[in-house]
Amino acid sequence: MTTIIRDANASQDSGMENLFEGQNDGNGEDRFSNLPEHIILHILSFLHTKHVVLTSVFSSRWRYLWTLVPNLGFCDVHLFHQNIWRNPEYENKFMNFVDRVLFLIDVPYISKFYLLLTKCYDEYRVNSWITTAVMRKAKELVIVAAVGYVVVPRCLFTSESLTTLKIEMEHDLRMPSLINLPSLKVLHLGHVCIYVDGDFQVSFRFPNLEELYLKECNWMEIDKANITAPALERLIIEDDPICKNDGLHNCEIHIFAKSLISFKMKSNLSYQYYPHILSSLGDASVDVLHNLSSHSEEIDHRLRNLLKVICNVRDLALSNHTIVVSFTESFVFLALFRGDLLSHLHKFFNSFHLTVIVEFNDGKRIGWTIRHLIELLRHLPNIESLLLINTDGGCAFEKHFLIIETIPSIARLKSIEIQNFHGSRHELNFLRILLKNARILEKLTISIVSSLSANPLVQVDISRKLRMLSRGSPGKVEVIVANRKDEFLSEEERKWGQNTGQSWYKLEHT
Amino acid sequence: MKDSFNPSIEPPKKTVTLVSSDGYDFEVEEEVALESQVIKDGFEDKAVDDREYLLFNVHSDTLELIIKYCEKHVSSRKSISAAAASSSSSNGEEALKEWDEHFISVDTNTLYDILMAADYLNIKSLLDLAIQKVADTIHGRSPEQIRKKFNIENDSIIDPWASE
Repeated sequence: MTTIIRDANASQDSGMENLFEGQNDGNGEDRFSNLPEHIILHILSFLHTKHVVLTSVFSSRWRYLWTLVPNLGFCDVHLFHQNIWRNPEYENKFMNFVDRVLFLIDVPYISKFYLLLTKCYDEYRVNSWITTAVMRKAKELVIVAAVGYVVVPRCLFTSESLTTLKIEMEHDLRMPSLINLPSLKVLHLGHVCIYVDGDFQVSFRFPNLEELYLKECNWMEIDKANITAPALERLIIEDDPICKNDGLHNCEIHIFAKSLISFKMKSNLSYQYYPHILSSLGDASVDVLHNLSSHSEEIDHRLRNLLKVICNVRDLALSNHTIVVSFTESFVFLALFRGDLLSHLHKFFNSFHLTVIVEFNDGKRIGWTIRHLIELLRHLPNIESLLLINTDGGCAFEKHFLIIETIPSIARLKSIEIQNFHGSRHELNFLRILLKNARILEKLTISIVSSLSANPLVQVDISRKLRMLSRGSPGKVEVIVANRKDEFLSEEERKWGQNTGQSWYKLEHT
Repeated sequence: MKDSFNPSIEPPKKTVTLVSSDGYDFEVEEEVALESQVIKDGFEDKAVDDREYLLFNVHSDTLELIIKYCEKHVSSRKSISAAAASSSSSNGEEALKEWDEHFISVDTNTLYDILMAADYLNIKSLLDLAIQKVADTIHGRSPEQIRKKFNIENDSIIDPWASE
């Protein structure tokens, strides 16, 4: 039997109508207004509330359609453009607008509620807007307050409907000592100062949380925070890079995330983070920002605790996942100054790929030196690939004293990649040492810094120097020098690459 | 040519017949037809030789477009997952996005037809694509411009929001 698919939302009549109408050319016809209501509402739900409300002036058909749209987004700058800054009258207009929309809205529940404020508004009214959203069982709630005071209602912390919550404001966020959000999947907190009512401890229960992002959050007068998130997959913790208060807090933050996959952390360790992870991490990145002059035994202790977490994970892991740890200079400085930390490193990783991002900021900070890199490499016996990213700002390889010529630990290195290569004597020297020691190297990829890649002479010169480096690896090494303009390289250079038998020099256009 | 629509020459592929509102038969691969949630629901319960669907609300011109869309998405999904399996880098998803963008750049009437058909057949990704396109058209335009664009006759007397 032939199946007839009928439109559940349209009556049979309208179906027949369509059939006979066929492909109407509809010139001058208002097909938009005649779309089924559920499609119109779907379209409107893709728009900002400002535009949604504006549709009410189209025609009588449109007059109240907007009140059925469950997504609400209020942004003062978006609503009034820059006028909001020029004329204080617009502050009232904005508040009236939000009040009126929330008053007229005729949906049983609100799906998304976005509130983006760039000015100070009446705190009671802002609070009641958020309360309305939570009471109407909002699923997605985003509150961003650039300035000003937003008092988050209590009902927010026990909402059963919330799936996404993002709060960003440089202000206090007062919460009860037990937060239970059973449906929450995504939580972002930015810049908030977390206070707990009448207690020094706070417990978060997020049975379904998948993503947690804590950006420059401050834990105020709190001794211990327990975050239980058994379904958590992605955890990102970022502390303020400019540490205003160098003091160490005794606040312990325990994160129970047994199924974590990705862990990223940028921290000055002023709080004690204890991630409790049982799963095999897919990737982890730990970046310790700390002023060397003020580092202490305590920081050292905290760092070791943190690394132990990754170490334990690695030992437990049975999968083939690789842990990519990018160490930045601050970490290595710390590690170098505390010799025992470095000596612990080899225990952490069985096999891994190292990414080093070399930053050379403003001359005040000392860049990486070859000695540091070599020192680090010496402690990573199973390293297989090394990626070195030189920032464009300048060559960080200038200051060094070469002492070490042998690095037995990199015997298993298979791949080296250097981005933003400057071709300086020191860089070449470093490469020479690497090549000499890497006995089974298979691939060397160099991308020349863009400021040099425009100059064909420099490029040819670098290529020539690269060729002259001797290698420890007996097999073929594929060398790729990539940049944006390698047509400058002469035909002879190409031929040379082909004739050597070993693909020691190979050009690849990028 | 519409009734001889046959994208595949491989014999073992199971096919489904879709009949447009104006009576044309379209034979498509099973997995292409299954992009429609409406067809997917209850599909397994039907006998193999009984897979014919009469689509009352979809004109053959629109159905041709819909099938083109579904075929593209089925084939790119395969190539993307194949690329992921061999861990080779691919920009399949981006290419598909570009293709979608091009696909949906049609005149307003065709856009409505696609919109209605995607809703009727319940093809979520296509519905979202078409709706986003309409929403983009509205975004940033004044009510007067939109009225003109969509032929909306203004029968309302008061304009309380216009002052905002």
